[in-house]
Amino acid sequence: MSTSPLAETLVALVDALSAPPGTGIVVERAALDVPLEGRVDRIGGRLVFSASLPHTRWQSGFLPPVHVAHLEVGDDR
Amino acid sequence: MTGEGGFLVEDFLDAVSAQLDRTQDALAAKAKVRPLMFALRTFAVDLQVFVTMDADGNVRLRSAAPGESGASTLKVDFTTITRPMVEENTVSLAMAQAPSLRDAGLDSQQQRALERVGVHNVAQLQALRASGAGVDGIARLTEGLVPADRLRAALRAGRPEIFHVAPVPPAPPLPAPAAAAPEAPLLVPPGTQRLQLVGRNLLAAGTAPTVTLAGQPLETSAADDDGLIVHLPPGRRAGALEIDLGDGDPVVYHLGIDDGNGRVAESWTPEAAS
Repeated sequence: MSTSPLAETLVALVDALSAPPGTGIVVERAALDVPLEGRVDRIGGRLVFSASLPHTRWQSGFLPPVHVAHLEVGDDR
Repeated sequence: MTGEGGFLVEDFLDAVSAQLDRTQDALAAKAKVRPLMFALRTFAVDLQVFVTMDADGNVRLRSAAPGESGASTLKVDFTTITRPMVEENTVSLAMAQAPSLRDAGLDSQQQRALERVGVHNVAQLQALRASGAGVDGIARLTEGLVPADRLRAALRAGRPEIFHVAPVPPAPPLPAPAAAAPEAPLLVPPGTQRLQLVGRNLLAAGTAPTVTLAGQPLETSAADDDGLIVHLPPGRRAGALEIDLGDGDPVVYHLGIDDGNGRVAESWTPEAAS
């Protein structure tokens, strides 16, 4: 299974925080504890950290280890 | 994660911070078209890794593979900091431009011995010596791996030097003595307002050398590791041009006005450099 660069995963997580339009709800701050399946690849001589959400909640001996990440975002204004 | 050999901690941190920069850039771009936007304030991750040390003494990480047990947990926290905090915690550009320990002729074992006490280049070695540790003290800190005579040689290799001084803009080619060695007369055309000083390691101490003309400090308009531009004061174009490189042994030029025939039009009596 392919893994996205960490930046893409984080942006997707932040995008998911938006309340549905028309509800009048505004999310100003959020904190997330999420498991990430991460790997570091050497691409073009540099390390690139890729991390995606696990594709299953089951644990087994042949899945990549899960790294727990804590993420806090806030209104940028 | 990467396979054999693992990766250095600093390379890993660099990889994560590059991804966080990309995240912030993407979020900032979205803020241009959306009324409410988020910024990433904190990111922390618990990594399951195996920690090893290679033959060079570098700590390396290797991520746990599927099914591997007994991994260590490396907790890494990233947070947003302000520009002043970055500047406070970052080695100055001048310090970073200083000659490396390898450039100064130290072998890899000696480099590692110095790096263990926080010295990564000659400027930091000079700063440690100037802090009161002294060359012999530094040699003891390295448990004798870097003898005092090697440290002195490295310090000599990285000390600031002035090669020559010339008027700005460059005058038509003058006779050889114009690109004067210290203590030789340095003749500049009438009306010269600025001097260019060419050398190396001029910012090694973190600040530009002090330049005086007949005891009067000259304003520095540009400074980098290889050269300085200084302004001559109005009405004064001759005298002892003294360049203090911070080593207690100032370089002195005898600055005079060229009368057009290679002679000094404005006389000057040199003073002994202190």
